[in-house]
Amino acid sequence: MTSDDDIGRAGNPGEAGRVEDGGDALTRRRFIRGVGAAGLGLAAPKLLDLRGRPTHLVRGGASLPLGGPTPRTPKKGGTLRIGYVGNGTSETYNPAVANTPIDSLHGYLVFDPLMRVGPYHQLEPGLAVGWQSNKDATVWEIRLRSGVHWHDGKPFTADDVIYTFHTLGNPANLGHSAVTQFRMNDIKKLSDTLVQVPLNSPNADLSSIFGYFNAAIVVQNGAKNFTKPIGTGCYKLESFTPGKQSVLTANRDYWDSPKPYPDGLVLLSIDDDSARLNALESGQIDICGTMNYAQAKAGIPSSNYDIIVGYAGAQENFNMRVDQAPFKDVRVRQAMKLLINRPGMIEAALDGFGSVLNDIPGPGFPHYDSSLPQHRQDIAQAKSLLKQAGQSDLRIQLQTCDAGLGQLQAAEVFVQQLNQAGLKGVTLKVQDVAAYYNPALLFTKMTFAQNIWAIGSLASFYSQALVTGAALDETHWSSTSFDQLYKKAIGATSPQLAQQYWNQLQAIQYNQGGYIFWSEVHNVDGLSKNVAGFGGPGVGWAYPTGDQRVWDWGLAT
Amino acid sequence: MTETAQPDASALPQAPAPAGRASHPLRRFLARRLAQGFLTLVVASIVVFLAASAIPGSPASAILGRNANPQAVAEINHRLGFDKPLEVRYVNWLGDALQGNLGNSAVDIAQGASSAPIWPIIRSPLADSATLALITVLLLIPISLLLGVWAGLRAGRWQDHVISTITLALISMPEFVIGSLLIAILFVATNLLPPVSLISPGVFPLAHPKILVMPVLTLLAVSVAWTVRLVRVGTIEVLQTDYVQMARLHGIRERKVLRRYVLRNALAPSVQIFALSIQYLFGGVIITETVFNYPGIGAQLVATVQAHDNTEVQAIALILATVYILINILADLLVMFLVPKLRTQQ
Repeated sequence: MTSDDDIGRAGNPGEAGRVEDGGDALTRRRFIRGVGAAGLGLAAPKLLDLRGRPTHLVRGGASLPLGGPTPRTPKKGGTLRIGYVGNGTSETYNPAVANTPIDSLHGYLVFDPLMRVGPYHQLEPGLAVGWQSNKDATVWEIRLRSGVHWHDGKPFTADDVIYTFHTLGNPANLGHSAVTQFRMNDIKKLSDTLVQVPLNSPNADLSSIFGYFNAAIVVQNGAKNFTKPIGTGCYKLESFTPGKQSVLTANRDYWDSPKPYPDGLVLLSIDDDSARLNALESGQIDICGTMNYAQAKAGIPSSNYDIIVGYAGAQENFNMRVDQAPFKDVRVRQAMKLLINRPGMIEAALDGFGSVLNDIPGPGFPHYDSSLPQHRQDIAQAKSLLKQAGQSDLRIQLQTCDAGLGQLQAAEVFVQQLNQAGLKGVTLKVQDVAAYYNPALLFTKMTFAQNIWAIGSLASFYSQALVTGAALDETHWSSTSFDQLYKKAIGATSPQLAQQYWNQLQAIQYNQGGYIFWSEVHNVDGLSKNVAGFGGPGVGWAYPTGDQRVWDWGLAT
Repeated sequence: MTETAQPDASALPQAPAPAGRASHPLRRFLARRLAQGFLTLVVASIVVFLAASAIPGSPASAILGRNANPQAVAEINHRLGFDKPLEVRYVNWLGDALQGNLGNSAVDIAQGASSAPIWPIIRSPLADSATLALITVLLLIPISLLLGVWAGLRAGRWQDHVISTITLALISMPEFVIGSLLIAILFVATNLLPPVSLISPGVFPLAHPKILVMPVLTLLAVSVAWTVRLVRVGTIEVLQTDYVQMARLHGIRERKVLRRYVLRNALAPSVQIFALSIQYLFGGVIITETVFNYPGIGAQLVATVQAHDNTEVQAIALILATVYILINILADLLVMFLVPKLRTQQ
């Protein structure tokens, strides 16, 4: 299985053919039958959404709409039961430390974001309904939704938002990068529904930072204990046993009435993929969050449940340190980008559930440059570059770990591809996951390593990975002119000028950067036939999971 | 045949009567085994503590995620006392554990809770696992004895071949295969039973007996194969002893030979086998609990390891080690009761 990105844009029949014949039991006939069974219409490949991304997952001429078809509107009542991959006893409702899909789902159930992420990554008003800046985008006024109440009956006001910003100011908060431009001590409450935020440098698109979960969620003024969280969200938490289940009841005073549709919701942590799918098939749950790819393939023709394939927001990459040999030489970096066979990697490591990336992250996000020609495997050109750099016999160790989402498999395939291209000196070292992603950020210190990024905006990625001194500078890119260009890009108040700067930044990374971004991962969810309001065209998430617009979900009968 | 012809220990010369209560062989044995058990527990506690400390990562890194900044991780580690020397942490932990205080969940404390005692967290999973184990044991012992002795008595005949073949097949199948097969038969094909054991926290599993059937059958299939085969071997061995041959030659009725001489002596080695099975069942059957999403202590242990909750991992491991040791001591005592000559050898 491959995306139309591979077929429609890559235009390389040899590669596309290999991908489609890649030992997959899912034939065209089965797939078409499955699409019919799932009530999904066929659509022509090569369709791009309004962000320039493929709208369909394509296989042999049949296509599956990414995000699923437009869902039905749910009926009122009932209890929605969801099975999700848990996070053991460290599951939490504290948005400051939530770092897994189930924890972000917790947040969206009980709290509200300042901005909701809509289809195609377009932001929609959440608790913030207006963003107004001064001329040079150094002072912002955020207008808040009125008439909103917390679950304990207190009114939602500017004090809550200011308190949330101050909690984000703690470097331990996973949403901290959103407020690094804020002059914290100068934030003012202008009224109960208006907050003034002065910045220490211009930012013309401040709201885009607050679509990402950890930064977006608003907590109550003074909130410290999240074992019994008080939110403004569509559900109230009745009981929570970490690693087991949450029981929630509908918030009937929700500002987005008549949502939520169900009277209650039960979220179960079911870690084992088979057990989760069995629970769906037996009717013990209504939504099976994140099916593994093999199950998804086998289940596409299922008449028992529907499958929703969506953009997950997770971007897979290999990274090369530009300050260390052999990658100090830009020709070696360019050669590596020409040695990788991206469609082959997607097929082997992700069972085809991915879309080709072009060595820069963020397709679908504002300012992404989709005009850059797609990098493709070109072994002859790569060998020529290596020869020029005196690295014909390149010897390097790729370090990785098995963190899921095909990470380890991708590393194995990449090393295999490099060996097949004649680079026998490239080897693989697999580290323990916890050691690899340890507190000392070991994975950012390796010469040749691997990672998966879940980005909320181009600005959040560039500030965390590429600006000089960035916390997660895996490639150790450091350039004063690049930093200045970045400041211009985020501060440009003219959309055209901003796009121009962003294009320059992306072209630099595309041509010279240390990143090989090879695939955006798809997420696959299973739904009982009775689920309504889930997914829809363009629905995905800036997290390694699919739809989390929990306020829309419900039952059809 | 008279009682003096009985081949068991009652026919052997009796040891002199003990002089006082303290020197009673059973008491001496029990005291020695308890002391050994305590020492074993201390050694186990050191191993458990070192192993939990050696798990890569920390609660802080698990909570804050892969991109956590080192300062934030250091701050949480300090709050948890993880920056103290290893030996200091061990002595503090063991001291508390000996007083019945298992400590607080490191993950909960790292997340900001002021107090998070471990016992209330693990009490329910322990009870759920104990329920599963107890039901399995109650079925395991009679089935194993019945089939094992029957196969032993019919050694070489078709009944023996059938039982041996089935048990061999079961031994060769991993737990998850048996579990998956049961799901295929009892859910996919017939829709008789739920494939996943979804129980709300705090609800006793017996309130939903249906969800217990498949996990119990899986555990029974895994355990019974070993125990049946070992009881069978024990029975065959005893049947071939001189005293059984003598009993038969003396014309004692076969039923009495079996009851008085064969079963009793065949049971002694079987007790240890049952003890091993019970240890396995009570020790958290991780794979079975995972396949059926059963909320037992095995699944809880996996969840705590996943969360790098070192203190909870230590607490669960220590409790399981204690259960293992106690079951061992009980099994030894039972063997002493079954074989009187062992008492006189103490």
